[in-house]
Amino acid sequence: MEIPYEVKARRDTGLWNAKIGIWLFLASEVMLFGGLFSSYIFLRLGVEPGVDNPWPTDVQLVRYGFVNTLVLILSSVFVVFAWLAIKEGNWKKFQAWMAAVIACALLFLVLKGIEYNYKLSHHGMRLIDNSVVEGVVLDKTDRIRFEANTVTLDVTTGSTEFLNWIKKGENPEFQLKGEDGQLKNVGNVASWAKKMRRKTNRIIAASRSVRWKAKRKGHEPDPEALKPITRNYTLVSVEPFLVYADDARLSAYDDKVMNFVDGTKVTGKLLGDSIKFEVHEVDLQMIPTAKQDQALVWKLINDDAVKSGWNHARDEEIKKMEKYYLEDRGESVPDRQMSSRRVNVHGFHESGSDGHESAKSEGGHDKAKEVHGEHADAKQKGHDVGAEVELGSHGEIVIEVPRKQKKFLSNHGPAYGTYYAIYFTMTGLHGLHVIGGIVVLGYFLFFGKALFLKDPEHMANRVEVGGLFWHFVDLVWIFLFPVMYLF
Amino acid sequence: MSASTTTHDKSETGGDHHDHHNPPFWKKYLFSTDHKMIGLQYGFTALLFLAFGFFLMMVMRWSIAYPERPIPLLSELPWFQIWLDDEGKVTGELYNMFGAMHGTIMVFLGIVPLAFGAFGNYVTPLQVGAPDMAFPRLNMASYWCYFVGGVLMLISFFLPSGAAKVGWTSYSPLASMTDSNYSNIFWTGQTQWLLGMVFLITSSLLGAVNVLVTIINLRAPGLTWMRLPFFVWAMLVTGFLLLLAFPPLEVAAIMQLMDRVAGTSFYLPTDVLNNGVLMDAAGGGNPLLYQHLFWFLAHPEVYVLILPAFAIVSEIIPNNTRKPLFGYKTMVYSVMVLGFLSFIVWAHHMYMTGVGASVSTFFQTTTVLISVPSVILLTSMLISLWGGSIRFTVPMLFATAFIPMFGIGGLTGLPLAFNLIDLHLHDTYYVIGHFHYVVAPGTIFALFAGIYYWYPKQTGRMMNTFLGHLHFWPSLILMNGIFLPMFIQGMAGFHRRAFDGGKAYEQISSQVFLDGDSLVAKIFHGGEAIQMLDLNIIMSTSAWLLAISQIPFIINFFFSIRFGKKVDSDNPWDATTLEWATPTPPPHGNFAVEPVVYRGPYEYSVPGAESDFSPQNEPDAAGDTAEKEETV
Amino acid sequence: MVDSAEEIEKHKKAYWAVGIALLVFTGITVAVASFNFLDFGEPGVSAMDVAVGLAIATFKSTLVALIFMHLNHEKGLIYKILLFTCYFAFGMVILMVYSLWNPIHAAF
Repeated sequence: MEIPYEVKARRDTGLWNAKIGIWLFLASEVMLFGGLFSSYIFLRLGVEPGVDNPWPTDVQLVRYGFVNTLVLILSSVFVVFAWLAIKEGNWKKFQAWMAAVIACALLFLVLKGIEYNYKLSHHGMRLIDNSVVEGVVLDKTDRIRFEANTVTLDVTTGSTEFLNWIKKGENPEFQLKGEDGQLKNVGNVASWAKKMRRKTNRIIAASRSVRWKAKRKGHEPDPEALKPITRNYTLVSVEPFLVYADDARLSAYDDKVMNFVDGTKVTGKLLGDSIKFEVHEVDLQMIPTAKQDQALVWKLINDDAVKSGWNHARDEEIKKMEKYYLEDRGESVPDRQMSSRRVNVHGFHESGSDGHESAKSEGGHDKAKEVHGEHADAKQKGHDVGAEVELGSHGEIVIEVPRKQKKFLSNHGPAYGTYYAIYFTMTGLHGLHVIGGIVVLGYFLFFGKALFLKDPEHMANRVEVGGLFWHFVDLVWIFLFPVMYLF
Repeated sequence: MSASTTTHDKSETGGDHHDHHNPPFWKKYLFSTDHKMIGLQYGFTALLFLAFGFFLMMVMRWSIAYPERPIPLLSELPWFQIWLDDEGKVTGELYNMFGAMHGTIMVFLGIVPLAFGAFGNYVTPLQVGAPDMAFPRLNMASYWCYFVGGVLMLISFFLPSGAAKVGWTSYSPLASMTDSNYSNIFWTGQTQWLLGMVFLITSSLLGAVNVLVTIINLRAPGLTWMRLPFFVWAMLVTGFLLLLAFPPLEVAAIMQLMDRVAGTSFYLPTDVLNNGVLMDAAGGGNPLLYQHLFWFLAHPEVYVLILPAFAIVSEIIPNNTRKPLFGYKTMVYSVMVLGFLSFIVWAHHMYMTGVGASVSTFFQTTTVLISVPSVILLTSMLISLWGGSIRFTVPMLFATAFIPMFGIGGLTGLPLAFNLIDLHLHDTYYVIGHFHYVVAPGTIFALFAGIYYWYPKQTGRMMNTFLGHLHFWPSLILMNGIFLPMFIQGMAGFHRRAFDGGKAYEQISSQVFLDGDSLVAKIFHGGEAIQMLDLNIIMSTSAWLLAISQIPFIINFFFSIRFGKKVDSDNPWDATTLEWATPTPPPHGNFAVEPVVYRGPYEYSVPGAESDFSPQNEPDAAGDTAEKEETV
Repeated sequence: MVDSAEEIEKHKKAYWAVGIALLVFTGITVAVASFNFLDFGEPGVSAMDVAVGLAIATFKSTLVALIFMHLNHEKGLIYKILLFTCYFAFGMVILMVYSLWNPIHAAF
């Protein structure tokens, strides 16, 4: 049996099947990315000034996005030439063009990977008064460090949160006191917990059955069934082991005990919970200008010269606004610009490496040159006065933040605000489409010859369909690039 | 069309096909690319899921009717027991879990696959005269994506966290943070629900593309757009709805997945609390975003549920009234308008979320507008009955019952379109009653009608009429027994998610609905007044009896495969559409002879014709070939 | 469509031209966003910048769709499908933004 119109077009519609199919598929893709773009608009317009984090507009590595755009456009050009080559019946030429397309696609993914890696290795921290520091967490101090020796858990929950946070390389051996009072090794804790969960649930079920049956029949249940059932078990480690836990997964902790959200309890000794942070930038957008002098971050940095350097940079920004509006145009500075300006400036940059795009001011000033020039000034100042504070390996300021003063800490991954979330989601989904394209076009490149020899027109149709998909991936990027990188 | 289809002849079933190749079992039944086999796979899986969803509901109804009593039978199952409280009563957690999964399973794993997957797959290519779907392998992938999605949903019941518990709508922020205390967030019910949905959405997209291309490009010669059976039109619109409405849900699901797994705050506002503790999230998101994306799908989804029902009923009615479908063209245009409008009514689910006056005015207007094409469709079907010599076969019984049942469901929806009334009725049993009238005695009746109607095409045997009646009449009465009291309770203010059925609200629940003097109370309640809470018992009993009354159907379904009355021709119902022109059962490749269409789909009782039906592929007189040429 | 040799030659020229245009416009987009003297509207990202950026992106994507994806001589059916899609996509965006601009507390 053969499906009609697989290769030749139908007369009244003028189309072959796969052509309609791919366009319908692209229509649903339009809705997919339409949904994502409308989420982007919804989230961005929904930012409430003074409540939500301001939408960052200048945290991107523009040059990577720019090169990636060029790469993708080129691959789009190559794919039409691959199609033309197959129309001409030239398989060798087709292979050459198609190989170029796939090379471009791979280059795109590599650049994307570099970009992701850069983001994921930088951190930002919001303090309880909403002042923000950007930089890098040192020595894994984003975790709470704990030296533990016993663990208590309720096996019926089926959850062993503490296992996720045992420091890498630690290999604690757990023992359990048996009924005879002897300590026994439990082996793999996860599978032990699974086994105990099943066992305990069975015991509970059996006891319930006995009691309910007795109740139905109206006689006293077997006293065996009324015995309390052990759900909580305490495991003792032979050697103390290190637990480096994320505080989001803890419901409470003190010097001796860590309580995880799933009810697991770890006892031992707290080694430390303060966060060692290498400060690259200070961002006080969420704090009114008048109160910026009292911001918590200055107490932590504890250096007036750094503060004045930062203040200077901020005042420069305000002056520039006043020049633009008041002097040049005779208008009053709009509230929006004033507030965003005053709060937006976070000029303190101590790392000395100029590669950081994020050294620019936040809140809408992405004109790189100007900002860079201005910040060099602030940077210099900060550097001069920063000599007394604790310095990192490259001369950056390092602060020690007590955990209670931290509100939110994350790397610049998807968790760090809605902009990052939608950025990673959209570029990630786009990346998946690129990978899909590589698979399909790669299949044509390496396994398409048999069909080409049998039915070149069919093969040309396939390449056209694959090409249409590839152009669509390019088309999405054409919008993603300015939306994600430039505004 | 290729010549190979014509090599099949009617002896295909006899064993002729052994000649070219006899595919191994797994290729023939599991990984088949034949649209009919895939349709049957869809149908069987979906029926199993429907039964499972029904079972979940029966447990919930026990909790509603008898919140103070331990649940019988099930309390003996060890897996089940851990979800019960210490006395064997249904816990709120279990109720929530079953509630969420009842909705999900019924809508996404039961009705849509049965209506669009099974009937769309089986009937559409036959009715357009195609040898198969346009992309048979994609079709197979579609079924297996659906299967994987279903398996993920089922697995989630056995996880420590249980299955999803936050309602079938999975509203964030609750859904973003639920079960976050489990150490492995990936293996929790809600995460698996989202993953399952991603698979189901993929399956729907593949299926929709396939059905659309088949309808657009594989129509038989002479089958012009206005000669398409209404079934095909409805499938076309349903396909578009699935194709364009599902991606935003995919977006919503992916973003919720990110919220749960990657710690993003798409749906978490700034400084959101979880159990009174500040959540460790950046914030800045918006829960309304989820609702917008979800309802952008879920409203068209309601039409995905109902359009296949219209499709099936409008095939059965003309066949059994022996007269053309009334207003065929009007119905076609109505269904298109319905499809268009269904995309811009979604926020009527969101009146309570704080949308402003002008927004809700817009959505009220569009919602009221969309009732116009719906009413046109229903009225056309009703008028189609007028003056016909109706044969009350079993499919026709279900089809006729569909009309008033869907009518009740549709008309009770109108008040909900208005913001003012919705503020009172929102999240009450009234809404449950309205929706279930549309899908349960509405769509599911139509699906039963479809099964009874097309059963002889696949098996060559009719289903038993007596058992069919035994299935239909109790079902009709009991369906109303379940859903009619919901309107009364809903208007009295009963909230839909109360796991004790409203016992906590003594003031409302002790309201008397019928006093002791009334006839109903005298007969059914020993002369005592019937209170609002007593309605729970009526509804729950009806539900359990409804389960029992499905037994005749199950027996009938399997019994008739072997022992049903044999059909005497390929066209046992004397129908006009193309699927009856195939051999019984249709072989791989469907048609023995390439069909050519000469007439419209519903030419019953044409004056001057020899019989009271003129099949679409029956040449009229000379001269029709000219038209065929120009419309290929 | 593309069947004869000279047609293919003609296409090749068109494709190169479009490819170069796309590259150039990408450069323009970045230049407009990066250089101060090319800034539109107010300092920082303003509605004007977004409008200009999106206009260029739309122009670029139109080129891709029309030339690379052959929409310039496509069949009517494809246009119909895309028209439906655009209706739904724009409906979604516009109504979502509309509801954001008119929350209930704005009415009181």
